[in-house]
Amino acid sequence: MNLSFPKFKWAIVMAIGFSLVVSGCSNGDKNAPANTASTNEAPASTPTEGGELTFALAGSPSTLDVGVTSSDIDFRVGRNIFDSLVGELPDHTIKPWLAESWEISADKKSYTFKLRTDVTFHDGTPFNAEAVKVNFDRSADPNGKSVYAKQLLGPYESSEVIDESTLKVNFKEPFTPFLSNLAKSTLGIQSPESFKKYGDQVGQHPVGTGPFKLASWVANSEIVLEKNSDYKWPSPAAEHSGPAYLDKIVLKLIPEESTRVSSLQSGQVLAAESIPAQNIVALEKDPNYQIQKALLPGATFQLTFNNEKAPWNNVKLRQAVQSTVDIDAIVKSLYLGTFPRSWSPLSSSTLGYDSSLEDSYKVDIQHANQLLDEEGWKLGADGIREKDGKPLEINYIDITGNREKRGDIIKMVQQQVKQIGVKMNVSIMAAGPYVDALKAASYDLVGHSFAGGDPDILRTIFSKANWSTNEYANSNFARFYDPQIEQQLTDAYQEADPEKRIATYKELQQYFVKNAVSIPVYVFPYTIAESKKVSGITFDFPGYPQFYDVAVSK
Amino acid sequence: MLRTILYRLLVSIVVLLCTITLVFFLLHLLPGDPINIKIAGNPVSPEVVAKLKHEFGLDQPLHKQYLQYLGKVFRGDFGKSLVDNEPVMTKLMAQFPATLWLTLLSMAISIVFGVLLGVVSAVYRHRSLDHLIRLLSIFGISMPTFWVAILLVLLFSVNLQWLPASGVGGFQYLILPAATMGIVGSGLIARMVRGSILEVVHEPFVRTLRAKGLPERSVMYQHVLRNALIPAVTMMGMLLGELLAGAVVIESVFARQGVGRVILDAILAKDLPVVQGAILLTASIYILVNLLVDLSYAIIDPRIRQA
Repeated sequence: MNLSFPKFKWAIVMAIGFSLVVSGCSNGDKNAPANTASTNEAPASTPTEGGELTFALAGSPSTLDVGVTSSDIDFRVGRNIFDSLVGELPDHTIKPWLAESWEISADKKSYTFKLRTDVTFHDGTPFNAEAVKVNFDRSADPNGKSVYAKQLLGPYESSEVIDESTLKVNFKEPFTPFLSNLAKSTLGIQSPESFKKYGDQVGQHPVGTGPFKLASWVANSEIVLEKNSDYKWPSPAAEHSGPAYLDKIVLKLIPEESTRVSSLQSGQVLAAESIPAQNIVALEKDPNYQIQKALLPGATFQLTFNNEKAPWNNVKLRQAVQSTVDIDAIVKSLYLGTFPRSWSPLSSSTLGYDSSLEDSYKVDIQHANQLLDEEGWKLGADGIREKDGKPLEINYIDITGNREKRGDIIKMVQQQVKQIGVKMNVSIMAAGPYVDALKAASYDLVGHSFAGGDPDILRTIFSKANWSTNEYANSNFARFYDPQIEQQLTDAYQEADPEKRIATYKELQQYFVKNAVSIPVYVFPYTIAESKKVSGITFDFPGYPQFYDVAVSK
Repeated sequence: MLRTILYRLLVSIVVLLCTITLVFFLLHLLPGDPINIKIAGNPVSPEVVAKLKHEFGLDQPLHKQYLQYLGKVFRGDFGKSLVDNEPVMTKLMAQFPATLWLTLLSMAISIVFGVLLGVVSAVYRHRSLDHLIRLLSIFGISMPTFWVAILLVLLFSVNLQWLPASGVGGFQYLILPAATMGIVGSGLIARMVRGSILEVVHEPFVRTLRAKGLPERSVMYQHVLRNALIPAVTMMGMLLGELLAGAVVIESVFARQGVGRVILDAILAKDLPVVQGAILLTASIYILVNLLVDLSYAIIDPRIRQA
């Protein structure tokens, strides 16, 4: 190929020209696209009935069998098809939903629910105590395929049908997170008839009691939900009664984030979820759109040390890194103010979150260097500290994909720890090798988050019971174990007195931060951008969107 | 002729068999265990893991798994997805039409624009129109498709609002993705056609044709182009592979249905039966099309027919 210089110059000129044309259009032109909302911002006082909502989902659900799956997006869609026995409000109070009332036995091991008697599944079969029992037994079955629901049921023992509308649920030991867990769509009630009818394909044919029912599902394209006209048992957070306003919801499956935003801006969808930071900033300024956020409860994104493996089993070393990493700078520059910084392993929307941890430590390079000097790690010729001939290294592992810009966080951390003479090796791996590395616990540091609800999530990430083995990967990536803390984690989930419980969780958070077991980075905000024609998208407690109150103005 | 076809069909079957074997073992060589990926990060007891492995036959020795798989494939059973238990064939057939239409349209765009630009470029060789076309085709080939896709969406969907940005549906949903892939394809074909025309133009028979006074137009279109087309047709067969591979990216960017997206999701989830089935499907199409390409040589060039 003999491209002489003049032709090459041509190419550059044209390339620049083309990008200018396109970017010029995309930034400049805000003069009312064909289908945008009118300028009056206040929504009409009586919501418009009927119509359809088009909503861009950030991926494809793998199944809608909420009792079996462990994937967030499955639960998000499932929320509008399945109802729960109880609902949790943002202030963490538990309210009746499909259960009218409940009693907890004196030994705290049994819950007796009085169920609503006027509820039917989408297939016409009645909702009753037997149906709930079938669901719980199925999810708790030790030989069953349930992943997350089983975990939410904890030390579940059995369910007893007292009568048509009374159910007693028994646990092997007190399990206080139960009611909060029950509020999640994961423990939403599915039609027992659908289990029989569809077998292992029930995930493609979900049948619940919710405000919407599945109308069609075209893989990799769209999921259509239609109104359940018989619906009269809305969640305690609902703002109206009776059936939903919308006739139809079309969930478009659009995994690529820029395409999701483009589809919203071109009017193909009225709302889209999981909006990237730079687009949030732009859409917030655009008068045609509004942004809604829910800070997800559970364990925040944190950089977790392998607390078992030398040299990072030494608390002083971990603290040195904790005082070096400038989380504020990282979060501000990467998320442009759209993600709040996290100070605790628990997210700020979780029950028992300890806000006194905020600003409780700061960047202090001098202190960090001093800690490392004291521990005998001396600066080598190449600027890396060493001891007994070994360099001070952090081997960080992560999965490919740069989810939520986590890969960019690590690049910044890598630069920052260089200041104190620590060398950070970053391995980004495909899912297979990543899970293998987790199983083998061959890393020093790993970044992860866990969506949850109850502060009992601390047991998921810090209990000995959840250590990985060479057989299978588990969730205590910190490989943390301390008998006293383990006892406190157990006490906390068995404790029935909310105040004592919260106090214990606060102590635990203080401990994990002081000992730098992990370094919390950000709280993830689940975001929805919507046209101003859309009103009434609400979030349930774990932060999944509910479309029951949604109306679309013409 | 019939013997040639039969022989080629036989070879194709052997190639397919090799593909199945290679894909099967390559996938199993990849590190990572599908069941662990399925449940990753959730506290699950070893019993559940064992049960899931047994259900999908993953607890058997590899050679047994292979023979079982082969046996099933011959009976037309491609197994069930590890993720959602859906039969692989049902899954693929639901997605295949979208990929087929996308590939056909981008192929058509590539061929029409590619041949046209290639001929024009050759006819006006070393003049400014030729330079411009060659420059554009270099651009077409070298720009990353996802980037072109995003630019086209910004221009035609967000700003002009002429075409939908994502999804599947009528013809209008097909235009942007097919154009994105067609830009690459026409660039490749244009360069190939230009090159091979210029080669043929310098052959003695062309000089003879001109010497006997044939008008330039009929020299070009009746004689030169026909002779120059064989490398271009070979290229088109290869291009199909390129387009099928490109579908993996394009279908994700435009949130289209399609086999490409099935492959991508399945690889990420290490959903072995689905990856195997999808690769088998695309490989079969690729082999079939290249068989047709080989046979078409005979139509284009009578000399090959006699050989």
